[in-house]
Amino acid sequence: MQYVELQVTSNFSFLRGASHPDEMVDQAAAYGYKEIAITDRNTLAGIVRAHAAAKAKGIRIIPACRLDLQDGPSLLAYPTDQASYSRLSSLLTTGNLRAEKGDCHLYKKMCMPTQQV
Amino acid sequence: MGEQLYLSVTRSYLGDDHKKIYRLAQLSELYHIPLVATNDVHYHHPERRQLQDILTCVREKCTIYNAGFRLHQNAERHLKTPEEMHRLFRQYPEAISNARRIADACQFTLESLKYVYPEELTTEGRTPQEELTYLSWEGAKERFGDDIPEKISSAITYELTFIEEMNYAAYFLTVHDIVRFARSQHILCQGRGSAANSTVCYVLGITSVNPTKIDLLFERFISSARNEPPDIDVDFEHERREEVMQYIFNKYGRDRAAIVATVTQQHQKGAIRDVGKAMGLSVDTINRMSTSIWRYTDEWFDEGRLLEHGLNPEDPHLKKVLALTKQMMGFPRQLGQHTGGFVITQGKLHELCPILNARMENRTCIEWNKDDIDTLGFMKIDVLALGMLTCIRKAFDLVKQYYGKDYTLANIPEDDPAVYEMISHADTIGVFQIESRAQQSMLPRLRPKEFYDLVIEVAIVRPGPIQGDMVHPYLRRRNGQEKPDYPPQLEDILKKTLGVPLFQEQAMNIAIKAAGFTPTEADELRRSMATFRLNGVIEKFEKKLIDGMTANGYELDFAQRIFKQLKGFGSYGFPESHAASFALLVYVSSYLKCYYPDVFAGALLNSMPMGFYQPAQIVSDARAHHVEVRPVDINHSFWDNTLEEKDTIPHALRLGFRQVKGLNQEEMAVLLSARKKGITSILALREAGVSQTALEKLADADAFRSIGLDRRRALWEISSLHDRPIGLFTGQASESTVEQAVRLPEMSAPEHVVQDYNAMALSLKAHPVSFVREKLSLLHVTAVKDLATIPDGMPVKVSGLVLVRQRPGTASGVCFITIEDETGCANLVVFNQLFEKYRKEILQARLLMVEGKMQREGEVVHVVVRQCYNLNRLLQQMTVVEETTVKQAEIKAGTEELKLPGARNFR
Repeated sequence: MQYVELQVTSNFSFLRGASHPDEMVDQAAAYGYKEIAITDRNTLAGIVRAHAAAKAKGIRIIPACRLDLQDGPSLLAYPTDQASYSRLSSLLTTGNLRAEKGDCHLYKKMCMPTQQV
Repeated sequence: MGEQLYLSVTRSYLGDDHKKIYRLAQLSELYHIPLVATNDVHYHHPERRQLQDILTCVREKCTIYNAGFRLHQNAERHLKTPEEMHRLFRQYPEAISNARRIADACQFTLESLKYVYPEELTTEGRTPQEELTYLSWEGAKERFGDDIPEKISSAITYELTFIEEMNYAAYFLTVHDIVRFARSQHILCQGRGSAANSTVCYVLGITSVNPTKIDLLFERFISSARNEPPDIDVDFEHERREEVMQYIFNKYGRDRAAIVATVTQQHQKGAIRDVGKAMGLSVDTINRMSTSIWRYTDEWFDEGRLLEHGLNPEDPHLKKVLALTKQMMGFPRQLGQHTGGFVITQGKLHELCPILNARMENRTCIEWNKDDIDTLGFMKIDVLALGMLTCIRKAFDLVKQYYGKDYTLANIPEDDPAVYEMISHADTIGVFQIESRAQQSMLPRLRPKEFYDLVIEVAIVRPGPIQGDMVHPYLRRRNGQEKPDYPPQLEDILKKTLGVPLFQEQAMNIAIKAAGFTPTEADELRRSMATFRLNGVIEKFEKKLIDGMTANGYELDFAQRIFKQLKGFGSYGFPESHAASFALLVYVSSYLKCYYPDVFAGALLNSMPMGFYQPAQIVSDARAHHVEVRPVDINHSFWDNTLEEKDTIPHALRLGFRQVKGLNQEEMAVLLSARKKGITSILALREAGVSQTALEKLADADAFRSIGLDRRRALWEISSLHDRPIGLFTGQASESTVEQAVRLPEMSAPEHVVQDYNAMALSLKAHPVSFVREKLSLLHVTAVKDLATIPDGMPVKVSGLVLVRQRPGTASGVCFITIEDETGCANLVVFNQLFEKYRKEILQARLLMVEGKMQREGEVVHVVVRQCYNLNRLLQQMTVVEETTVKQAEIKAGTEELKLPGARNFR
């Protein structure tokens, strides 16, 4: 049973993560990970680079996101399939469009399973 | 949430990890929420901890000294090996196995995102492919008449089959639709880049280079091996591109169309500021470090430079700052919008990628940039802005209005010898592309005579051909000093460029014909040269190319030379198709400049900002071409620059209000509507609703001459309007009216010029340098126009205002400077070591004086610089002489400093 790192903040969480997504992936591959999640804050901006880097190293990334809420503790969200990925992306879109550029406003209520956006 | 919810536990190393995790485990059991171990990774390696701290400081706007608990307490937030994680959580094995379970449940990968192009753009129930086929043949008939040349029809058939195979029809239709919209709104547009390799694009009206005129290589545009969508870039008039963009947003809706992001990266300047601040350097030190950097390069500080700025290169603190800056450079800093790349989908775009608000109103973009969407195989359309198209359209309008000719991009008379003659003399200020310094010095050597020469001209003055050492062989052959040299088998490909490969297509064609590459492999070759300079792919192709060519009976020497040349242009070489698209605009703009200098100057000024030169140069160039330029005036000017008919041609150019700093268009509309019967007094303007500030700006620009007032008099009168009686009291006397008439001192010519520059960045009265000419003569400075009489190799001194500094990355640090005095422009060359030595003078001088050596090669004249001097103080003293007289006057006229428009830097 091998461990998978599921909480990784890259520098696409601006001014928080201190490594590029591809650096994360390359290091993970060097350590023998077969997969690694990328969980930036309220964004999926770094996942494609991570994906490309992972593909080059023959490992897999789990596209994911850390949802920083306005009214609750942060959630780590991992889409299991295409439909849930679409919901995640739509949720972030809603959060983005109701905030100023560079901000994403999410609330607990929006993330409840019954409130699928 | 049932089985989908987990509780994440992380070791923080704050001393109470055991307690905390134990409590969490209890909670997990109580609420049946399983634990999952993570390490909350923030960097890939413990070494990055320092940088992470700096980022925290930047985010929290504090320094490393007072950040306190806002920093992570230790360096444990790095990626750990699986073994280490197993060890750390050995008491909670299920936390480890749950991580595995989550990963196993998440089988979604980005590979499975399916991108579907919008398919609604069809008519009469056709499929996209049928629609495209229909439109292509219709278009071909329109372009060529019923008698479509064989070359064209077979190309169309070939391309359509390919497009069908790759399922790209919907993409072409989308681009076609956008172009059709632009045409219907009379917005000029033209496809650029490799799309011009496609005959289908030509018949659809997307590109404008006639495929019968140049050889096309469809594979350069799209190839099946690349498995990468085609990329059509279309230029639109820069002032009207927004209309096109809003059309796309409206047509597809914001949930289906968005602009591609650009990830703004941390550059050296920003990085050093951020790191310096966080590391507690003084603002003074930070400023000194960040402002001493040449604007466009990421060149690193060397010890010498640090010493020069009074910093100690041995200081460990400073070293740390520089090391961290280096790490931080290239970090993404924010998501911006791409210059115009659109992603449009059939379904909901936000299900593929989050959409966000762009900074500009009414625009939304996605979170991924160009490379990201390339990776995923999304198609994008580039809606680009090109200032020259705006200028050309405005020029067409003016030509129609004043000369009664109705030009379009397609019907400009071709191959006019007078136009080529003008180009050959490098008389190209304002012309598209060939106006830059490097281009201008090439033109007299190349002497273009026909359209294809322009295509070469556009392509040859590029880093690629220069690095590949192709320019000189080409010029020698062209001037008959050397025979063209190519194997007869390659005549088709190489004859047109006299045996020197200049274009990407030629490189590919040689590989295909001489070395037996397939078109697809040839495209890979090109790309490998452009992008993977380091990793061995290129050597593989080198072997393949050289082996292939020698096997086909070519000489090894020739094969190696070809390879070297191909390697040279890599990413920089133009595709021929792109050069041809640009050459078309070069020709059209040259034609306009040649036959309608008045129109061209007006259209250029009305399209500003664009191009290489400032309004002042465009105006002086127009005057050099016998265009009378008339000053801004309240009774004659409009917002735009306009032409005024006179007995002879060219017409006079009347400067418009847009040249005056700080005026706005709405306010001038008020002025224009008040002017119907002519303006006779300033009071009338004020009464009509033109604001006090606008009147002052107009006075600053000396725009009241038609009512007999110079700027000082006009300002005086405007200031008396403050207490004019209004409403009930209109017509009554105010204090100002009973004031005694004042005799204002006359302004001197230098003062007027200084004010002209301050208000409009140009002056029709005189050139600033003419006022310091006397002093310059004492320094034995030669006027620019007299350079013509100085023989090659002689020492010379020139001085002028710095217009342009250009330091191309390829010219090994050479800096080209253009200076201007009242007699014309001169070109200076500063070699690298001297640039370092005179960096301050070069970057800071507005009025630069240099000593150097004349260098002339035919019509091309340079001064090779040996010493530089900053003569700014002469400019400052220009108006000082008058000060004593002014002081006695009642008005404080203030000796304003000459504010020149900043010189422009290019790479």
